[in-house]
Amino acid sequence: MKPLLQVDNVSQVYESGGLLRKSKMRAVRGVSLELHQGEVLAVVGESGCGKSTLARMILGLLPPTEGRVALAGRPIARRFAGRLETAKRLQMIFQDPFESINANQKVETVIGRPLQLHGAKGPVRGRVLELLRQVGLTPAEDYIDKYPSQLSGGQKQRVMIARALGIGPRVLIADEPTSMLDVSIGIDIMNLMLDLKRDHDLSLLWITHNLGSARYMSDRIVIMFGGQIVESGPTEEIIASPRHPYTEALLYASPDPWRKGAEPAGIEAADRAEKGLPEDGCRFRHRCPYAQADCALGEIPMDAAEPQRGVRCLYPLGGGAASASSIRIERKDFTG
Amino acid sequence: MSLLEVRDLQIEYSSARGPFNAVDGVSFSLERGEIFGLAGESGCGKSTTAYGIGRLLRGSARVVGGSIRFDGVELTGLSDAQFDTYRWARISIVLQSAMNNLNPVMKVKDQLTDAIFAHRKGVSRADALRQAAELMELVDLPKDRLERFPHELSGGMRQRVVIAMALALRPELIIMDEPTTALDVITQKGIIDKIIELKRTFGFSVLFITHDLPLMLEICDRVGVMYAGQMAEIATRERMLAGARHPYTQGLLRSFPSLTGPRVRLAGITGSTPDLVAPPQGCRFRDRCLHALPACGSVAPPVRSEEDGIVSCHLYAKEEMRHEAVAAGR
Repeated sequence: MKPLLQVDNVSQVYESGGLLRKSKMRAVRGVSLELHQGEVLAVVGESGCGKSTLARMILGLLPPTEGRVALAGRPIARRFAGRLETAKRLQMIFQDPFESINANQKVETVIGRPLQLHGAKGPVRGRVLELLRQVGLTPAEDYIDKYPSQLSGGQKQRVMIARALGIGPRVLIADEPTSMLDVSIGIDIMNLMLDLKRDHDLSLLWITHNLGSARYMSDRIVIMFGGQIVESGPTEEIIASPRHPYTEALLYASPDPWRKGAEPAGIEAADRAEKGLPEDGCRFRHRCPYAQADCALGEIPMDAAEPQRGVRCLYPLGGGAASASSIRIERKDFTG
Repeated sequence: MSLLEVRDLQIEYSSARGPFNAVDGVSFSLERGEIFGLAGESGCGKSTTAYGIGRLLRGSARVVGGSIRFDGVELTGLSDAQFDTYRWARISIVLQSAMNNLNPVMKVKDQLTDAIFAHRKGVSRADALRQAAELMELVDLPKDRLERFPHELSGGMRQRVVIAMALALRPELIIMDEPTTALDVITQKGIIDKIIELKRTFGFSVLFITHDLPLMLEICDRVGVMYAGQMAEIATRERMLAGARHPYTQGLLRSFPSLTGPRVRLAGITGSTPDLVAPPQGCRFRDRCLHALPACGSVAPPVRSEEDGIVSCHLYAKEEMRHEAVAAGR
């Protein structure tokens, strides 16, 4: 089956400085991923890993320096004329509902205005009420005439979800939509998004730093580090047996007092951030407890020897010796 | 004797709609060498409680009742000048954002030595610098970072500097308010492990505040869970892991997606926190509680003490009290 959203080898290079001292920052480096109809894909990584830049490129808010993004087989438009067309299929839920909502508009306008922009004729109040009910803001009549300042954080986020939903998108991109909310409210928002996904056969790209929320929401996970995808696979497999040392570190650093068994030796090495990220070779190697000399050489390829799973590591965890050696042969060719 | 004994603490704020108690009758004790956690969601009063203890309350907030005894001395009765002999020397504080703790235009070494000079009269500059270097070693920071400004350090390193500062005068109590919330989880883990290690070495006590209950249960010996300005439950780590008593704590624990165990749909807690300007009678959690009894609407929940904790809930009232409460609720 063809993927609904296809991200093909996209990169983003930010340039800064003037004529004399120009520096380049490669925030996203050759990321490829696919999102299928009705699927939830979690993009997991820490701050600065490039996950939000990736989201902006997928939305067409930021043209990729390289690569392409296609939605249902058609490239994402970069010009304004095509943006409405993109928006019809692809909607975003932002992290901070306090920032992303217009404080001067009533709920009716916040949700109703996009409907009008997308061609709704006549009054939209009835449709707005219906959307409010769909996101659990009932009785809807109590909410439609409120201003954002009269709503709690969780209610604001529900309004933003209703707004995104109104246009009838195929794909929702959610960038940490619960991280500003209390946990007991956040879980309600997650449940709402799962229900809406099911009822409307939506696809969901769930961007988060929290492996727990990624597990709760997703069918598949991609792990990002230093602008690259370092591991990908079905959610339960990644959580049960991470293969990239960074994924392992992330998993064992995530608080879980119910976890049994000892943590892997050398996890504390992952906290050595002061050396910065190397440009070449494995970007995680300065913090990797298992790094070898050849991790510094060349570009580390994504190994996809196992079906459904990929890992960008020469020495993947969990009995990956065979695949490691096969990559090494390939790499000798690569580095000449 | 406990190191810290808080009894029936009341902290009042004024608002446009009138005064309200952000902290309303909170009691707990903290033993020497213990890490005690204060958990709860935004607005529950956990940070206000800590700031009240550390005399960091701002704006209209003030302690209007109750007692805070530290090492046997009543802190609420002290003048600001008297309290200054406790501040930093015996009770130090680590705040959420390291940038709020650090002066952006001072080098790390000057900030560390400042704390030493301010409280230790007659220390020579060389001696203070030597102590600063030792502090850096304690938190695993290279000595050359002493010459840096805060913005030249990563978030995790800055928070380590703040912890080093908090340790400078070897206090008996360190209050930590969301000390790792702004950090990535791997950095957070490094800092949490360091705090536990330093606590073992120096034997100080920690009042650890966070909304992240799983994190709290990894680091704390005992946890107090606050709701709407009141203490809902205090329990040992073991008790919490085996199952919390208070329905609010149970709901909170059900709100965190887990990385272990089966993948199940979580329930969260429906509803929202009550208005503290006009708090409801009886139990403040009752409108959101799955187990509410008739009495919960009118009678304040009784406090029941067990060996491994304290719970403030009608479900755990002694039988006869419960009958009375049910009768009163009719």
